[in-house]
Amino acid sequence: MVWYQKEGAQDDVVVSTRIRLARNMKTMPFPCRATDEQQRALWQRAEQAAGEGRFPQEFSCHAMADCTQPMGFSLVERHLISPEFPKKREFGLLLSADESVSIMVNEEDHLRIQVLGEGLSLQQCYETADLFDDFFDERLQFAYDPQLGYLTQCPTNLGTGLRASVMLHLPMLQRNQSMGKLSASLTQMGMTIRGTYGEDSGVASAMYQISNQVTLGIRERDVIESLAAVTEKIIADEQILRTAISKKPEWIDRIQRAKAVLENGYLIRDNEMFELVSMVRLGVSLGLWKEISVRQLNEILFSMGKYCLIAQDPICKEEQKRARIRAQRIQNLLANNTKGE
Amino acid sequence: MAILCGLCRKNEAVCSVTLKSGAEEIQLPLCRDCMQKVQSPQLYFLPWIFQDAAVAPQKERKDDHICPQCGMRFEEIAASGKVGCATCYTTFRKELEKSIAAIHKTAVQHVGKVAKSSGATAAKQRKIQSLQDALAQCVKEQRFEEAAQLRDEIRALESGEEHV
Repeated sequence: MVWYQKEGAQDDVVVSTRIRLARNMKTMPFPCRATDEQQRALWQRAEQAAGEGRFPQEFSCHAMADCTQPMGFSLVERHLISPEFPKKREFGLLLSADESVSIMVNEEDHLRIQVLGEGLSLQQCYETADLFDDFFDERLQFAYDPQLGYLTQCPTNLGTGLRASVMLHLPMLQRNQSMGKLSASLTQMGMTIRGTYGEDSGVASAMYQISNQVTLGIRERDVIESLAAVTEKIIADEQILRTAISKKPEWIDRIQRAKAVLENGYLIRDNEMFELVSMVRLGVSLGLWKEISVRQLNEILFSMGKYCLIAQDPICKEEQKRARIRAQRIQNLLANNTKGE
Repeated sequence: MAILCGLCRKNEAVCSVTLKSGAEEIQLPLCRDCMQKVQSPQLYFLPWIFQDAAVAPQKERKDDHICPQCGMRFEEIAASGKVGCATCYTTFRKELEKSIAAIHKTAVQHVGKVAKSSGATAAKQRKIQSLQDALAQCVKEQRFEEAAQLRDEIRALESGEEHV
């Protein structure tokens, strides 16, 4: 089972949690300065480590040199690698069977250990990342300085090298035009917020990512606790606004229409999908129906983006064919789970 | 790269002298011969030489300031925002510290996880650091008895490290 198919805490608002640790070796120049040969050697060591069989679950190794472009971008779409990653040659990705743990090799840092989790699960994700951190530290000896902490290619990650983030679905706060204010107050707390899912679809999907900015002079525990506290507060604000519209006919109508298109549309286009999922998600959280779950909607979000479909079937390069295949797959997914329940 | 003497510009410099001209301080590298010539402290009548002479050797000195592990120069780090390797952080510590403090808006001191591979040394250093902070506070508040205790503790830790 892939991580997004599991039920998560507060998942009516929190889509996912992510923990990322930036780590580098002492003895080798950082990726901006390392030779291709050095980078290849590191990738081989990482592959070997994954092959030791000491990980709690199976890992697959993806050398980017062997990946097609759509495959690379589909990994970006699933938030498994960063957008710059598919353009580089000498790196690779170690990916766990449930796609919750992804280890990027030779990205901006030698290793980027990333753990994704369902709903609000900062603590669990951090604990998992911590285990992988120790595992690789033992084998690669990470660059560490008592004053500067973990040494990273970009000084913005010095210290813990930790970036903790939560992806939140905030349609009502967005509609209420609260995002500017929220962004300003988060900055003061050393955090940042940005829209996610496409440059313009950030608005369409109402998905926002909140993460810590500061990594030096703060403990991992404090970063996670303050991010969790802020998230709880935002969830509460969003819920209040949701309750206020829960009985309004014009809203129920909009949501029902979105559900109808998702269930019956003949073509569902790239950005339209985010818009529909966003609306239906709101409907699920308002308790309008029981036959659709947040998990199904997450699955649509994480597995039916443009490049995910192209990577699986080249015919999807054509926009209209892609929209048709997507509509069929969404409808299959929704129908299957309804039968199952 | 050898540094040339800032006066004769022929021989390799063996030392440098600090010259004060108003508020400005100039480091002038000197070779053995020139050093003997200017050893008398009547240097103040020579600023016209230094204005001209100090520029070239100083530039050379900068070129010389490169990271021994990856060959990075500080100018490159400043231009790209990327550090070349772990050793760069030691080589350019002074230059980097200001911007690190500005980025993180905090005192430059890691307080998070200690890498296991760094051994007990880093953990011990952290412990010493925290004891030192406490010591500073005690002294500030004139709690000298506690301060003495802390000082002994720090010494014990530090001397223990030597034997490891």
